Amino acid sequence: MRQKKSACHLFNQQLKKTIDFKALENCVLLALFIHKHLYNLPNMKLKFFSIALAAITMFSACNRSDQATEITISDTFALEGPLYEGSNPAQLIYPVDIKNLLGDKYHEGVTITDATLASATISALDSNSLSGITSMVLSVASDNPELKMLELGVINPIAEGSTNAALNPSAEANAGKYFQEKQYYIILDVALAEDLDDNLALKADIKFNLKHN
Amino acid sequence: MKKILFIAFAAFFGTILSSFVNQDAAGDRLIGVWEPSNGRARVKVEKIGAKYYGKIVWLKEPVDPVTKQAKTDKNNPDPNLQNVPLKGYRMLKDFVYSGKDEWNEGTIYDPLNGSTYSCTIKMTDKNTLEIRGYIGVSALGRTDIWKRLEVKKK
Repeated sequence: MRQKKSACHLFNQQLKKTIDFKALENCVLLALFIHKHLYNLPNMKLKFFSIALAAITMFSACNRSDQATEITISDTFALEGPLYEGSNPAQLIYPVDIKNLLGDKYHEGVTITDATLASATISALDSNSLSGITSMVLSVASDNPELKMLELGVINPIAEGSTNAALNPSAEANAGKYFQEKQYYIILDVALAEDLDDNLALKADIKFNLKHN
Repeated sequence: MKKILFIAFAAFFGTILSSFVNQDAAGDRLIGVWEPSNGRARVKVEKIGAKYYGKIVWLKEPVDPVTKQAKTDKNNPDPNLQNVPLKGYRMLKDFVYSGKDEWNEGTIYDPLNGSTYSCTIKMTDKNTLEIRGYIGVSALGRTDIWKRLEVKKK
């Protein structure tokens, strides 16, 4: 049942991605108009052009092309000490404001369909190096039960004395649905080689490639 | 009359509010460190937002016998994530407390084969969990018993 539902959902999503339903609706209205007013026209040329116009509209509605936009999220992950050897999570609550994210490319009814991590660079704020940190993993999570946590990128190991670390982005994770939420969580898991009786602040520059209609 | 109405409203909203708080507290009983029946790992359950996640905090055999390095998620289907350290990996994800000592909607990951299964958690007593992983329908699955570990405060 769950698989059936998810297959149906996937098909629906794919349909929404490829067909502009608003344009299709206009096209149907246009076809009805032609049928009612133009079909019986004695002028064959006019009839031909009207039908051709409807066909072109339908073709363009069914061939929606996605646009791409790159966005950068710059923020600070704060880990409150004492921190323990092993993985310590830090999280940001990220409110999604599509209008602000897309800027000039924003239009009514826009939907972000794909979001892949382009790059994520983490650097230390309090000190000059990331010493003591052995690895980092970046993930996203949501309160929406439909959305499952996704790992977006990892760096392991981190070279001793590094001042910043560039995570290797996942080849498959698509966080597009997270950008359809009001907000989501960005989680940075920081693995420490040993206990740290202090706070830790890490600056993050996270770039996403977004695809939208 | 107004006073009675006010008291009735206050009692009504108070009951609703306390039921939400109680629901939250009941769900939080899952938070802690748990050990699967095979004793090969320990999993710490935490809360992120409204959901529960469990990450591996201890491994009986933390070192890969081939590479002699700390074990990583080498069976991850995503090749770019195969060097995520296994210690710290969230093998339980996205559990929502549904009441009656059950947490649903989540998944469990098996690092031995890189597969993710649907999963439900039932707390049979405060120190025991029945973890059921399955594909498709719950009937086609396997149940494991996890025990709570007492963690010494530092």
